[in-house]
Amino acid sequence: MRKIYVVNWLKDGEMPQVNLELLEAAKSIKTGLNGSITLLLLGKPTPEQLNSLKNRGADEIRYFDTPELNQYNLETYTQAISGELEGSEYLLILPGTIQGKELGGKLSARHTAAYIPDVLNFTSNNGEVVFIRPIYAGKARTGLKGKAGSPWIITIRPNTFAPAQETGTEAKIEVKAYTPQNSRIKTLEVIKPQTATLDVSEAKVIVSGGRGMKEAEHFKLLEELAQVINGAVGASRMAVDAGWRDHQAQVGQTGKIVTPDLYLACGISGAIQHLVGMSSSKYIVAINKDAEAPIFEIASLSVVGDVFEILPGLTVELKKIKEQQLCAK
Amino acid sequence: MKIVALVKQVPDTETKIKLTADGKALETAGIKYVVNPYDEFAIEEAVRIKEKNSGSTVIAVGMGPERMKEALRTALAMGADEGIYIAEENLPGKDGLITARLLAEAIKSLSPDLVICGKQAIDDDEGRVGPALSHYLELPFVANVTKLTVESGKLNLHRELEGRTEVMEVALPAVVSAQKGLNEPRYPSLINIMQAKKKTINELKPEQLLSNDELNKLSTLEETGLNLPPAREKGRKLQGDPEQMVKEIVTFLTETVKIS
Repeated sequence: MRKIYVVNWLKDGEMPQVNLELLEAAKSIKTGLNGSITLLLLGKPTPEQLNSLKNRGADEIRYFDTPELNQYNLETYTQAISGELEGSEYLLILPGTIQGKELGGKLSARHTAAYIPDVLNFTSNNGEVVFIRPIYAGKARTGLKGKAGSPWIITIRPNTFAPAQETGTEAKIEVKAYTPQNSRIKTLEVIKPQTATLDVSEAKVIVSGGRGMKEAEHFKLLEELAQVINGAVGASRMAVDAGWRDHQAQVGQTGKIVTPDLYLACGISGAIQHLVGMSSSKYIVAINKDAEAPIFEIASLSVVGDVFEILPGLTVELKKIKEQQLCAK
Repeated sequence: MKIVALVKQVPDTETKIKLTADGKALETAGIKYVVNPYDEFAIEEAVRIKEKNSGSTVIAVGMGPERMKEALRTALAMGADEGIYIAEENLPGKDGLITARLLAEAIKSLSPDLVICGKQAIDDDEGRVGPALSHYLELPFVANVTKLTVESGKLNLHRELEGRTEVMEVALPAVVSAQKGLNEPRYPSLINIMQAKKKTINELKPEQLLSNDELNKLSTLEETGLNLPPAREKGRKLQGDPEQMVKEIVTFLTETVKIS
């Protein structure tokens, strides 16, 4: 038997979508481990938030009624989580975000745990669970097993598991208190982009540009299209190195690994280091002048043509459809 | 200030990954090794801090097979003063915890003011060594730093999160990990490369740092196999009249992808 802890926290007072994905992962692993699921929420959820979580597969929900935990802090979170872990045979599940991985790495040393970040999938056989994770930015995958007797800590990549649906059983709710310790780390401010732009790592649709966009100014075409189809604007390493886009938008091995439903690659030829960052997208549409561009090898729809002849028309047509849909409602 | 920069050597980003004939390991023949790109930001930042604060030293520390020393030489050519190399041999496994603990043991006696590493190595993509090392050194840790200034006894920094930037203050000594955007790493000149050959790299073996018993306790993982991701099915190719192609893209997006 191995107990499962799912750990998450509120982001600006809101419950992140990834929370339900972690619960879904926990639910599917639970059968093989014969354990129970405890959701550890750092920070205090609203009654509505708690209600929406209590029948999603957790056997128990513990949350902290301690204002100091309402904001993420690596040191206080490490302390608070460690205080809740019982025994040494457990599985701790964290979100595969920057903060989640920072916590995972720290906790894995503190508890001498097997650590498996960015889990994509797992197989389970007689209490033995093998976790599959990408290496070399997804160019290969490795199967890993935590040893018996050790704690296991994994992080789950966002958009990998479906959100947990409601079930009949209700979780037991427990309110915990935590005595805040002094942290050597202070968050002074959180800067959000001025316009509500979507980050490529969270977007379901990404419109991305590369060398073929020719200059920074032309990314307007991508922004306009992205706006119509609720997408984020991404970029290849070349476009970022040329200073056309911020590195936060970079998709690829030294940028972000993305798994949207739709990846629309415009003027991107498809260097290996870019392809590994987006080749797990559900659908890939690539527009490129060069019929031999490597990106066409993995595209669901390959369009041999000039981005400047296609993008404006595409935006106009999609806008028309969107307006018709709005009228129909 | 005494600054430690962690260095790892990894296959170049353009490397095509293949498995050996038995499918159990990566085919290493023909791989070009480079300094982990995120570690370049770490080394560069360490050297810039040294240049701004007279009397500072930068020590590049790395663990790996023999070829790892080339990466340490690159760090020395970029401006690090000395290197420490830990041989990756006689270890009970490839667990990142073992690496973190050995690095911590080697760094502890240096009492650095700041340890900078890359946000992750681009081979295993774990991002574990930095935070784990900070635990063993009992120091605070901040991942994914894109801006850093040293003030008396503390660091002011920016770190990137998904879609936002966190402005933070961290007490020194501390461990931080570098993200792209922190700086533009320099290319060492020929003179720098020549000078680097005269700098010292101290070599350590795991058994000089930790007992076998302690190393075994840190081995908690077992690798069960490697495989390559399933190949994507190749789709349709459109060519010809742009207007006609736009129509076909729209149909694909609305009927197959079902964008809303």
